[in-house]
Amino acid sequence: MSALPTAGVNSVANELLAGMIRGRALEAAVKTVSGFYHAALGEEAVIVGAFKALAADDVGLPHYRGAIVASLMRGATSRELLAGIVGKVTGPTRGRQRGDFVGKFSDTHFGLFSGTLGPSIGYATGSALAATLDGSNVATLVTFGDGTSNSGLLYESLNIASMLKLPVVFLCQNNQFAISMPAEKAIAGGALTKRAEAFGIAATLVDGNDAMAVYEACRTALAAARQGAGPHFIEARTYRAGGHWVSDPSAYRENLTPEILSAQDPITRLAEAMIAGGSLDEMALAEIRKQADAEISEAMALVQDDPWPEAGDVIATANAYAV
Amino acid sequence: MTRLTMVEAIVQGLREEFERDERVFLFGQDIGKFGGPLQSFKGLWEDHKDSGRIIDAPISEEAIAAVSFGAAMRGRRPVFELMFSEFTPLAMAVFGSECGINYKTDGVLQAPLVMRTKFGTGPHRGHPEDFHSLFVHCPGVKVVMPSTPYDAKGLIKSAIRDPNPVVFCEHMALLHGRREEVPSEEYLIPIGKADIKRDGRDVTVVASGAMVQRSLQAATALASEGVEVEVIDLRSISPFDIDLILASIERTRHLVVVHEAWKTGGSGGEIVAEVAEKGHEFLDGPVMRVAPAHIPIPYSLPLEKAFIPDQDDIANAVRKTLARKRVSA
Repeated sequence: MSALPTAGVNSVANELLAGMIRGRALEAAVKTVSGFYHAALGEEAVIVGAFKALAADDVGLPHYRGAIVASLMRGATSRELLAGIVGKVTGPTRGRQRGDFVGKFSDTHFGLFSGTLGPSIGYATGSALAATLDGSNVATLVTFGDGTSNSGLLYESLNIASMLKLPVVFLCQNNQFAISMPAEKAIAGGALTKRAEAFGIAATLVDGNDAMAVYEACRTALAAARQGAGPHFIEARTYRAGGHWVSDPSAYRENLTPEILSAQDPITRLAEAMIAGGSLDEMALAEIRKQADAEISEAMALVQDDPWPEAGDVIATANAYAV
Repeated sequence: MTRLTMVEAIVQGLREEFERDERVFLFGQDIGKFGGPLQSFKGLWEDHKDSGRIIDAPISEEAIAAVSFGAAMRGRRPVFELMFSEFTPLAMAVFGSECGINYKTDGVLQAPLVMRTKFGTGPHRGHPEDFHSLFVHCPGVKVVMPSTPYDAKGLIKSAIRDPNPVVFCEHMALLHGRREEVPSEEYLIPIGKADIKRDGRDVTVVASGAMVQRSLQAATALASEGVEVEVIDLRSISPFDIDLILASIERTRHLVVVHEAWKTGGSGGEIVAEVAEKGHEFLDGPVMRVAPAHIPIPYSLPLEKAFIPDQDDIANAVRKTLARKRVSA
C-alpha cells in the first residue's frame, strides 16, 4: 500500500478505493492466465471493506471469491499471489496448494484448504475460541458466500459461537448466486440476518457495494467482539458481475446491461462520492489506476519468468506430516 | 506403578498432558461434569473445571472438528471427542478438506490436535462401527489404536504432543477390560512404531485393537500344534511400522493381517499391499486377511459373534498360509 497517494481528507476512503482498484487489476491479470478463475468482479467493496477493518493481529478467513484481494489487503505482494495462481515456485506455498482459495497463508490469514465450503466458518469459530482461551484481544472475521450460507457448518458454528460468546464476525458476501442458484430462491425464509438472530446473535444488513458501509459495519462488529459482546453476523448484499468462473456463459440469468453494472459498481460508486465530496479528483483517480496497472503488469512479467517448482522430495509421503 | 484399566490409563495420560501444557483443551459432548462417555474423562472436571479448558459441546460433530482445527491452527492443542467412530464420518468434510494443512501451507500452519473416538463390539451393545480406515486415507493425518493400558497412556501423550492431527481409536471392550501395571512417571510410546507382543518363528500375525488379544489366544492354541506365531501389535495404523513387519516376515516367511474394520477398503489391505511391493521375496505362503465381511454389523449376539473375527478364524488363517507354502524353485 506504500505506493498509494496520501492526499485527500479521507484516508480510509482512499485506501478502500485504492484497494479495490488494485484488487480488480490483480484479478484482471489472473483472468489472462486462467479461464477457470472465480473472479470477484463487482464484489470488491465487501472484500476490501471487511479486510481493511481488521487490526494487524486479528484473524481473517476469506471466502474463495476474492481471497487474493483480501490477501493483498493483508500485505501479500501481487507477485507472490500471481505466482500462487500460476503455480510457480515463487508463490506462497511454492506450488503445493492452489493459490486462489486463500492467497498467502499466515497465522492470521487462512481459510479454505479445498473447495469444500463450510469448514472455514468452523475454523474461524475455533480461532475465536483460541483467542478466548488465550485471553487475548484478537478478533476473527470469516467471509463466505450466499451459497455457503446453506451449509450446516454455518449453523453449528453460529450456535457454538453464541453459546460460548466468542469474538468472531461472520460475514456473508451475498452476491446473489450460488453458481447458478439464485439466493432469493435458495435462502428460504428471506433475510439471513433473521437466521443469525435466531441464535441470539446480533446481525446487520449492509449495502455490499458500499465499501465504507462494509468497513464501518465490520469495524464496529470487530470492536464489539473484542470487548466481549460475542459474535456478530453481517450480510453484505452485493452482485456477482461476472460468471461463476471467468468463462462461465451464465446462461442461467438474464443479461445485465453495462449500464446497470456500471451504476452499481463499487469502485465507480466510491470514486464518484469522493469526487463529489472533494476528497478526490479525476487526475488522482487516474493516477491510482495507473499505479495499480503498472504494479500488476510488472508483477505478471516477473511471474512469467519465475521458475516452476522441482518435484524432488516435494512429492514424498513424509512431507505431508509436520515434524 | 498402579494397575489401571485402559480408560484409566488414557485419562491419566490426558491429565498429565493437560496439566503440563496450558495450550491443551478438551472439547466434546458430555465430557464435563458427566465425566465423558464410558468415563473417558473421569475426574478431570472435578479438578480442572475452573481452568475453562474443559468445554462441553453441543451435538454438532462437524463443527466440533472444524472448531478444533481452527483453534489448533491458532496455537492451541485441542483434544476433541466424537464419542463413537460411528459419528466420525460427520467430521469427514473437515478432515477431507484440510487433508494435510502442513503440506498445503508449506509449513506455515499446523493442526496439532487429537480426535478421540470409541468403537468395537463389546459389552455396550452399541456404536460398534470402526471407520478408522477412512482417516488412514487422508494425507497428513495419523491414526493410532492401542490394545493395552500401558500403550494407551504412552500413545495418548504422544498424540497430544504430535504436531499433526491424530485420530485416537479406543476399543470399547478394552476400555474397562484387563488391568495392567502402568507407571505413574513420564513415558511416551512413539507413533509409527509397532510392538511385538509375542515372539514366534513360523508366522507373523499383524493385529490391532481387540484383535491383538484374540491373536495372542490363537497363538497359544497354535503353540500346542507346534506352530510358533509372532504377534505384532500395530498400535499406529497410519503411518504403520512397515520396517518391523518386513523384518518379522523375513524370519517367519508368512503373514496374516487381522482387524475388526471391514475387510473391503480396510487399512489391513494397505499393509498387505506394502508387503507385496517391498517384501514379496520373503513370503513362502499366501498372505491372509482376517476381517469382517462387507456387510453392516449385525445386531443379534449370535450374528455379531459370527461376524467378528475370533481366535479360531485367526488360527485357521495361520494354518491356511502354512498349508499352502510356495514350492521353491
